[in-house]
Amino acid sequence: MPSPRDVTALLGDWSRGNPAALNQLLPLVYAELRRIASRQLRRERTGHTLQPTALVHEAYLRMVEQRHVDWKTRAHFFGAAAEVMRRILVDHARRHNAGKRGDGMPTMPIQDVRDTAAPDGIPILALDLALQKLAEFDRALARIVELRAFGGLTIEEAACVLDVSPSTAKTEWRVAKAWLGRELGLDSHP
Amino acid sequence: MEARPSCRPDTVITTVTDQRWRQTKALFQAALERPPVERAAFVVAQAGDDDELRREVEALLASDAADRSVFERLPLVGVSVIAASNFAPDATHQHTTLKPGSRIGPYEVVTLLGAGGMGQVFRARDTKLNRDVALKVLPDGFELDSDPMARFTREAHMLAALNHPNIAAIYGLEDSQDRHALILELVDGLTIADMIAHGPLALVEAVDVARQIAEALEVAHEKGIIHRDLKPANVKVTPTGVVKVLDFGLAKAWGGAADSGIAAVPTVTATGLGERGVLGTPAYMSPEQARGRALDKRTDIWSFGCVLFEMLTGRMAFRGETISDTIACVLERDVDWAALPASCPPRIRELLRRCLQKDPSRRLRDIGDARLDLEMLDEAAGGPAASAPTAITPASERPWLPDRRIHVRGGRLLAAGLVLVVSTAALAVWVDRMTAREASAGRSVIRLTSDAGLTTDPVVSPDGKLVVYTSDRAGNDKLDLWVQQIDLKTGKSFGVRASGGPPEPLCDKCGSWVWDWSPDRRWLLVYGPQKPWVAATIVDQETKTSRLFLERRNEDLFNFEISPDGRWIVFRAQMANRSRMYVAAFNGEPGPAENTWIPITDGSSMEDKMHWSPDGRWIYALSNRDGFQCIWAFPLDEQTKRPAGPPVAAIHSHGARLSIRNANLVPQDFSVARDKIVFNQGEITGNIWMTEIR
Repeated sequence: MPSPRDVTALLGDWSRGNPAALNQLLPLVYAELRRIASRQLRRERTGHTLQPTALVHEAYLRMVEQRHVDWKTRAHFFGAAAEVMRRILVDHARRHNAGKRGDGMPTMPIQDVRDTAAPDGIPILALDLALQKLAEFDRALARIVELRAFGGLTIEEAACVLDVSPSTAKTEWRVAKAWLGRELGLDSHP
Repeated sequence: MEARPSCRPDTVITTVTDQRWRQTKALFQAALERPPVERAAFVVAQAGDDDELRREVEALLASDAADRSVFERLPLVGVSVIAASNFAPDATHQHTTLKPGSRIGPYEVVTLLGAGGMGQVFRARDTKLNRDVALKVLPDGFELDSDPMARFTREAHMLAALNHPNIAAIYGLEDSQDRHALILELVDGLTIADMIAHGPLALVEAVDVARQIAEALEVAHEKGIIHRDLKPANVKVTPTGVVKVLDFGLAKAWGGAADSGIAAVPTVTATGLGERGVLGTPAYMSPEQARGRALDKRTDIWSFGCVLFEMLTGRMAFRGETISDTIACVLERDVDWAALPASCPPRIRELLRRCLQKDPSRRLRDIGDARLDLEMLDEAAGGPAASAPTAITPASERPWLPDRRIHVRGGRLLAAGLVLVVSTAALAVWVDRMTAREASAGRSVIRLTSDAGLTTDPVVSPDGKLVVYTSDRAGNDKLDLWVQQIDLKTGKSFGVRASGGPPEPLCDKCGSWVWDWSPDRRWLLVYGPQKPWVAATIVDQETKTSRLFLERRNEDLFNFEISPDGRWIVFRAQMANRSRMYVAAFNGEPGPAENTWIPITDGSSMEDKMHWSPDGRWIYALSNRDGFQCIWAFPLDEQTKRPAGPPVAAIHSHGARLSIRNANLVPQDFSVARDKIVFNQGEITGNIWMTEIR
């Protein structure tokens, strides 16, 4: 495991505008998140609820030198972690889905997936599909959802990562929610 | 009813082009800027004869108007409520000065959490960072330009530099018009005072909490910051078991000119009754504090001793009917050493003795020494014992090896061919001293491992002498199997690594999660999600054939375990959040008929991980039957296997259920053999614990 000092330094470089630092950082974040998540996810426990952002927090606490990070650095870490977290959760949900049917083809309605990772009843796979679709025509909108949903970033932090003003981020988030709500058909089951 | 999204990815939207979306989004955003009543007309006007655009924007507006709070809850950031137990929530003599919704700077008041001598405390929303905080509004009399205010500001800034997981953070100070407020971290969980209200803590819990308090004090003392008001109500344990020391140094910050003495202890003031009445704070004051003398870090060491004593005994170290009586106790009386439990190790008695010296010059000088002592107690049990292998013994020569089943985190390993790599034994001093004592006390809980990472999924051997578990303690990021001996007589306990041969698939097509052997090893019972519901398959080892064993349409059947005599099975059926546990007769033939299933639970609670007791008269299961996850024992009639009485909690600590006290000790997986239950706590990091059964 890299020392917290290394990670903190890389995060600092990155948030100061050095894109190369991200390339070094992502594999570290990925490895750590995988490690934590796989422990959690493989349990296959019934009634087990996974909190994606709790994993990100755990990774953060373990990887970053706590005393020398400001919230911007934290936002950047969580921003990187959000992407990784999404991948891990989606992979898991997909495997789970496949294992349940005995083959790899997605023939089952998504809402039937035994999706232990879904917070508050939105299945990870459904959210992921919707986000993929959204990213095709509005990448920034998809990204803000990713940051909020999988990284646990606040609007303010997401704005910092996306390098937009908080008010822009707030508007984008509102648009994203409206679009997703409709796409996921949330209204048909009030 | 929880909203279930219906997903129709193939029916919903036609292809959206970038251009089209930009138009839609722009109109949608423009509409949002208008008052809601004008939006519909605005969209119609703007869209003109572009009906598709109008419909799209209208759909988005409808969606926007619906409750989308589900998305706001997606980031499950774990901040929640500070318990106001160190304040009197019913302190009605102070009228609420801030209504919900009112603001101080960017902080929007949500609700009053409590009030005390330090002013009122609110839960508030930080609208800038979009997080909840605790807002301590300073009492009247703090004028911005006054000396006390200036000093307070200086203190607050210094305290804000304290950054440690065991210290509740101070984010800063907010001045707004005539109000001044301190912005603090919201901490969820119970205070130690709440916990002690149910009786003393288990030794292991007390040691663990005390160690974390000592860590917090050590970090603060290194920076020259003294707490001055350490007491059980100022220490919280979060649901994940992290100790947070609250109100660090605030006593001084609030203390006015006095740098010492009772004046510096805000909770003594008439308005600030601690939750245990006026005795709240003076009971934890050091003698020098009570005398109004100058204070240094040793005052915290005294208070630390008081807190540790109270955690172990459930009683205040010093108490009197009145404030002056209590102070007299602090100054003159010795603590009642006989109140300490018999199981309390000499090392802790000695530590308490050194902390509670009335003369500060004879007191423990450095809280770091206390931390080291506590860590040694904490770590001695089991210990990371991965050192050079010294012997390799085939499993077949080890009749006590638990060959029944070995869980490797989602994988399945056949125990045949298991090879033991015996490492040099790390003798566990703590277990050596404590095991025998705790065992004699009966049904206490002792710790078997002490790893920083994850040690989990314990399986105890049928003779109760060995426990097998997985652990990443080797530090290579892998979860390996380990075998540890439990010997209460000699107190020896060491973990050895069990490196298996190549894993053999047990059943290719079962889609299995978990399995269980019949005692004669002929039958292998597997359950897993090979259908849209979870069903059980039985594998006949003689004929090497497998057949569907049990299923129930649209219900999942879980946690099959065959009784020790091979004649019964226990399992449970679950649909959504309703689960019932059943026992049924077993003879290897598929499908005991549903009308022969014997219900053990009525569906009002959730059970998981059922195990038979060795005599087949009890079923142990994780259950949330009183709201907390704990291991319960369900008595069965010897012949009929019908319930023979109400279930009883199987894990006790000083007579109280363990998991009420410390969220960190909620059992996750467990195993039963002979006279003991071995369980693990913690999902991401955690250790193995053991308790005796009846």
